[in-house]
Amino acid sequence: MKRITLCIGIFIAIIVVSIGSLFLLHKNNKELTEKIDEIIELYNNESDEVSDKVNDLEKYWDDYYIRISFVAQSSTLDDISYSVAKLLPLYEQDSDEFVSECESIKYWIKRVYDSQFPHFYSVF
Amino acid sequence: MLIVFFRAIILYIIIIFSIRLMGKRQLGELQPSELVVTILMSNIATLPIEDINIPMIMGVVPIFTLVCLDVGLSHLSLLSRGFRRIISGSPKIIITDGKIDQKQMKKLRFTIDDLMESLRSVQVFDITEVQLAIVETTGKISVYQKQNLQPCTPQDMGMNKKSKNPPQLVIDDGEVVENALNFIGLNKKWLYNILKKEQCEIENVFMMTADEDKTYKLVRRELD
Repeated sequence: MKRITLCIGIFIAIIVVSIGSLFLLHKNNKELTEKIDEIIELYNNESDEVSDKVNDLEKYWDDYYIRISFVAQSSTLDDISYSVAKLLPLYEQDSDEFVSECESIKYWIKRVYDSQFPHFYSVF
Repeated sequence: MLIVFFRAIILYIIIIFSIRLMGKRQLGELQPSELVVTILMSNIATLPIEDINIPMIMGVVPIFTLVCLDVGLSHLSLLSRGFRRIISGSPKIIITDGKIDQKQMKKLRFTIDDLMESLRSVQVFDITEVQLAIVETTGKISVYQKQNLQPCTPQDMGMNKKSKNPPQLVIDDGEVVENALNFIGLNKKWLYNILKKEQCEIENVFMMTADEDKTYKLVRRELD
């Protein structure tokens, strides 16, 4: 009886942690997307705050990377890290690729969430 | 490399815990569901060890999920005979009164070599000696020999022997095994009296067995 109780406990814990990680991923992705949207808007308005916001984004990503690496493959996360690291140099060079790099980060983090969400097609 | 090292240690501990969680049944004869879990578990565990790109939780979650499902299924099969038959199948008779059920053997995809090998492993070399042979759900064959060919027992000879438990290991390499002492209804006081009588310190005992009748066998440690 102890064994079955322990197994039910583990089973429930797995379900809770899985759903919890999905919610956490969704929440953090939303925050990250908002930050990127804000940067794009500031960039389009030619604001001086862009570099500060990009630095903020880098810090936010560094923290988020550790949390997200528990569920996502590190190769995908490394691609995002690479894009985040490119933002400041691109901005300083006033490159046209700045906005597209921001969009690519948004796309990648959406892909990470989609890959974790149990869609019918991803399960089967 | 250190990541792989740490992951291997953690997963090793997790797998040992999982096997213990599945219980003693898992360590002996494998039922079909247990075989599936064991194969899957060994494969899943290697993935996050080999590839550090894969988060370790991706190995831990399926292992625990499979183990929990297996324990759950075993529990359900204890409650329902029908469910047990679906999960584990049922034993099948392949020899009755020395006669092989060829239809059943075909169904089970058992060759005559498999059958003879199993019979030989229980010291039966002639099929006509077999009263009943059953293929268990684990694939093992249980053989019941014809009565007049079975070894003679004290009961057959009209002797009334008292049933008793086999001797238990009460000292293991200088350490007292209290559970074993309790099992045979003896205590430490009796044990120390014996050691005193034998003029042997407990540290110098390599092993000692005893039974309910206080019959003991003491093996002293060999000095280098």
